[in-house]
Amino acid sequence: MPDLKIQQQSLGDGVNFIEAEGFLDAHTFEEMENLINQLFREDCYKIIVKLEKLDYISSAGAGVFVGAISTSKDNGGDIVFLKPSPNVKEVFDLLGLSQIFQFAETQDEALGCFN
Amino acid sequence: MDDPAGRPEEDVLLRVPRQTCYLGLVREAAVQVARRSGLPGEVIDKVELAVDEAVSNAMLHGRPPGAHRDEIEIRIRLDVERLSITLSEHGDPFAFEVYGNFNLEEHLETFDSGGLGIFIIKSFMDEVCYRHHPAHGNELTMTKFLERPVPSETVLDQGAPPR
Repeated sequence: MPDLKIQQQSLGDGVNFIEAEGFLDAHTFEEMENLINQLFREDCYKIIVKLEKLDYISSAGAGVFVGAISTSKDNGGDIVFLKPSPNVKEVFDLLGLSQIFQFAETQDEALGCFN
Repeated sequence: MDDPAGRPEEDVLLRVPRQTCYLGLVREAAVQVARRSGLPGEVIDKVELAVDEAVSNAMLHGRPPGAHRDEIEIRIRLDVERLSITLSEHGDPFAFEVYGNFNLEEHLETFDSGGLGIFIIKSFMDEVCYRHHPAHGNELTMTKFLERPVPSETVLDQGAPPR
């Protein structure tokens, strides 16, 4: 059954890095939601999410980030997407999320988005 | 059974519990039938997402677990003109026409993800029809009209002997 794998690490300076792999849908979105909420509880609001290996995202998955970005920004942070796969980027574009999220092709570029 | 032009006709019926762990199974079934339609890959991706959104809505927002007939029926039909997916479930009626009809830019200003699934369904499918039967519950039919002939390799998949 399609699944989601998530890895998370701190990059220092209050920036956290999440790598998502697999499928982010109505079955798996809570895993991502729980991780982001945990980071918020730890006062970490600058988040880079690498989506290069994410094969699939539905509105339930995208909704996690839509629901989190205001908390992130209100606390001086942001959510930046790193290297989204074409399938995933297409969904973001359709949903208009490309207008409210920042995208980067390299980690350095993503880090620069927080300045 | 195929039509005279060789285009496959399919009628696939799935009945799954209202649990999101079956979402991947439903998506895969829809993709398998869609591939036989000759639709381009990028269109099949959109059909897959539309089916996901419809089934997810029913699983997450439909009748709570433990209710009578707590299952969802998905019928995937392919004929010479269209690929259609019908979702039937015994959930409460909902104002389908109201959801997803928003200005996306204004909607996102509120950072509210509600209604995005139905927005996707309406954006990606050619025709969407919602009905509620007092006795039979909700029925949502999503249709993608076929525009291209079936590729030869797909026709060969339909029972042709291997070369």
